[in-house]
Amino acid sequence: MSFLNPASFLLSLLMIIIVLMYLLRLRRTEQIVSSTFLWQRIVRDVEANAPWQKLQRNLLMLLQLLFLFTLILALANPYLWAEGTGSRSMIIIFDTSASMSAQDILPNRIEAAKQQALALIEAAPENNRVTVISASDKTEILISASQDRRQIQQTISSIQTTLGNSDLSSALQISAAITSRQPDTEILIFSDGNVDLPDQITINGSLVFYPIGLNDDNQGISDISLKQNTSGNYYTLFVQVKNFGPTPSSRRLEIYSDNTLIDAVDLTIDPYSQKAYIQENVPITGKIFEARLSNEDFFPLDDTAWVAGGVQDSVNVVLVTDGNRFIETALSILPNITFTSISPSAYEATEEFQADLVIFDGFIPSEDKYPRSNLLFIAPEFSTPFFDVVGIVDEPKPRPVSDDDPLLKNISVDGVNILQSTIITIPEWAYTSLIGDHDGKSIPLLVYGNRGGQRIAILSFKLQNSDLPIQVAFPLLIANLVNWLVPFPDSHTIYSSQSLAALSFSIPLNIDEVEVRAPDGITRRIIADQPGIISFEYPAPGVYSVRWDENNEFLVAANFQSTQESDITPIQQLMLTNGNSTSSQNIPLQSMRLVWRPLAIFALGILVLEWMLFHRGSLAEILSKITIREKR
Amino acid sequence: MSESSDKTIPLFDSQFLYQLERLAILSRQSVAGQLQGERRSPKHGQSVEFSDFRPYALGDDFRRIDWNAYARLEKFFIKLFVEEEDITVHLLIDSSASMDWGNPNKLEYAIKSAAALGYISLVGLDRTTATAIGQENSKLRHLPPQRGKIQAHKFFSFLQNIIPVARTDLVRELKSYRASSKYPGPLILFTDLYDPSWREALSALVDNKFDISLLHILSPDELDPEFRGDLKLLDSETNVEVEITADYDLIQNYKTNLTEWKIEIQKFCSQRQINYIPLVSSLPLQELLFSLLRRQSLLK
Repeated sequence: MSFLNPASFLLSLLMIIIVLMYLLRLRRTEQIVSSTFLWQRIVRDVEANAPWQKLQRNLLMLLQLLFLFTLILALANPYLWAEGTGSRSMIIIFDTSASMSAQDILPNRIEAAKQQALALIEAAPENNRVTVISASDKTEILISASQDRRQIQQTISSIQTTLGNSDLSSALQISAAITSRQPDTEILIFSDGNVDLPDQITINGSLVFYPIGLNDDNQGISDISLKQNTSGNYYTLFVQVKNFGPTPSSRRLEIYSDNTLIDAVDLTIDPYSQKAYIQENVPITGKIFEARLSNEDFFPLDDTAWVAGGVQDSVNVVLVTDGNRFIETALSILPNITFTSISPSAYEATEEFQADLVIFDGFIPSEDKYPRSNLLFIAPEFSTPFFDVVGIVDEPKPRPVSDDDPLLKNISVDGVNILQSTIITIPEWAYTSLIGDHDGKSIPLLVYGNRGGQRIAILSFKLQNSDLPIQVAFPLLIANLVNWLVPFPDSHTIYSSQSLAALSFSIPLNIDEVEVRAPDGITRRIIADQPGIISFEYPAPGVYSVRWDENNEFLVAANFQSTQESDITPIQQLMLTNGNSTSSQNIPLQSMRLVWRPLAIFALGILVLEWMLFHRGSLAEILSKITIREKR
Repeated sequence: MSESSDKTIPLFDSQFLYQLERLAILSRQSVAGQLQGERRSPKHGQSVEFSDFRPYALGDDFRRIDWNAYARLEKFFIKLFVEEEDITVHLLIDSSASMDWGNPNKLEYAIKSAAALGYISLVGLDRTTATAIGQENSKLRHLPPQRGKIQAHKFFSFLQNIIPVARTDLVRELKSYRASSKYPGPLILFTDLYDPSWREALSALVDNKFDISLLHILSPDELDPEFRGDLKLLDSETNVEVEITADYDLIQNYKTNLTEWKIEIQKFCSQRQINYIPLVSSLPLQELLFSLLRRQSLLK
């Protein structure tokens, strides 16, 4: 215990005065009595001659001393360091990413975080202003600078996890903005870690990280796909199971076709490794294929994945090139692809164009010749209405931006060499999939995005200037690009760091509205955001049915596949670059609690007790009178 | 003392005296008196009440020979009768300063009680003597035995002249009284017994010739003190000072102590054939005389 006003202890001298007053003989009132004979007998027992003994027996004096001591203590304004916040403003950031639904703490991590936060709020001063932010792939301010304790508690209680990734960047930037105005703000982060953080941020307030989570053991289905083989009579089902934990694990993988078990295998997976399950000759009669890991682990969300079957319509691809055998070969081995290769001059001469995908290989058409189709630019030499070309770079070393990138699925670019690449600006609508490092700078090598319903991807280097076409990765890259650029009618949509908990797919341009039936049977009508584009957030993984008329209905499988979230390893320290210094905290927040109020109440209680003790004779008489009256 | 003790004011009205005349002092023992009276005497005498026979002896009054017995037995027997004599009622009033206390005043109450008992005694043709313990003046101190209703005025006058004295030595006074008093009979002591040597004092009085009754008089404020706070108690008799903090506990302690003291006196008196009668000065005189003392077998 420490004191804000220790000078008050000088008042302790008053205690000496009280003792002296008791030690010194009182100026007593003389009272003549008939005889002191009986009084002498009593006083012989009551009044000891030794003054100290007399003091010991004087309860009133002791109470008075205790009262004065407590009062002085209260005036000294003592305070305690206690766990909890003592500041006037508090920002609570909840990581609501999918991994917070892990059940290594019962009932789950988010509930544990909520309990801790509620306990802190309970202990916080009443006039504390609380801001609550939920952060996953989306950042949402749930309540702002509220002093309404009930509202704060209700808000925190209602927080639920999402299917998104952990991204605290926006939440911390908002917090930084608040703390710049209110420097005494405390920022409390409840997270299991594995979060995206801003590269550099300056926060004036104190930042405290509350680590949530105990266990890191998790296995999940990291990939699932269904491909029609070349004969068109069978599917090849591919399922990949990954062990995200540090210990070897055995799990049973069960495969269902339209809810009928068709296969089951036991997989033993080494730590941080993955195992593939491939089943060829799966009859094409199945509509929904489900892969399920039996025996639930701490994170059941990634234990089940679906893929929708169904014969796909042929995709019409036009390749505008002066000749590129690499692409032509790669396209030719893709199922359901019908591609046409034309020269740039032929393209320019064509008036009207119908294609699902147009690939411009080293060619930029004139401005009025851009089709409404989805586009893939390979090594653009000039700027286009979609992006700008700003230069050339030699020997960029390629590396992926994200592990979960749909275009780089099952692809390793470690051994790829690029002789030269154009430098393009990254459009606002685009994500970067592949970047190249050169002289400490990073340039985009592969970007993609949806521009007003039109899907566009840009590969910035010539295939001839790279050894990529002779790598195993190349046909896979082309397949991924085609899959992404022509998603309709896609067999499944993989949940990724870009698309997050939202499904997005193309529909015919003349369709404005579709009907989506969720796995729980609830049907919603979704209006197209842009011509030909439907997107909606889905609450849970599963198979969704999309239809816009009686003849056009297809199934979309929404799976939870996120390497970042499936890795549920909790961290104990959050490394944050704060200005130029890196700091992390996992120490419980210490706050100053003033305790003068309970001391003052205690002193008042002592005073009342002393008064009652002094007047106990009168009180006893009053009580006896009341008792007699009641008896009567 | 209050005005009521003034000798100019009669102690009792005639109505009350008339009521008193119907009472009589009881003595638990028969004692030999001086004059013929109305009390059974241990001596054989001249009354009409037959007591016993005894063989005639030389010198006996032959008129008292029972001739009928002689006729039957041919021996002389003297017929004995119960002698009825007076007794001496001793009234001892503690006139110490501590008795001059309380409301009603203890000494005044003692005087009135003694006056009533003395009047009953006088009317009963008993010799009645009164002594004011502590008085220096011998006239004020002792009233020799009086007899007959006619002496009532003198008796009352003596009592009314009793004034409180500064200090009394109860032991010495009572020892002295026992030694000087020749006449047996009931002895009634009016005192508050506020003396550390009260045991010695009572023991000094104990004698076969006295049938002792102790009327222990305390005032209401002595039974339940009303003062509170830090006080210096001053003894009205000895001027001894006692400093107290009269809080609830101390007052309760005092009351407990008082009760224990009275029980102690009761036991002491019981062991010495002393009739202990505790009184509070607020007790009406009528209730004392016509109820309490009759229950205590001091009056009938």
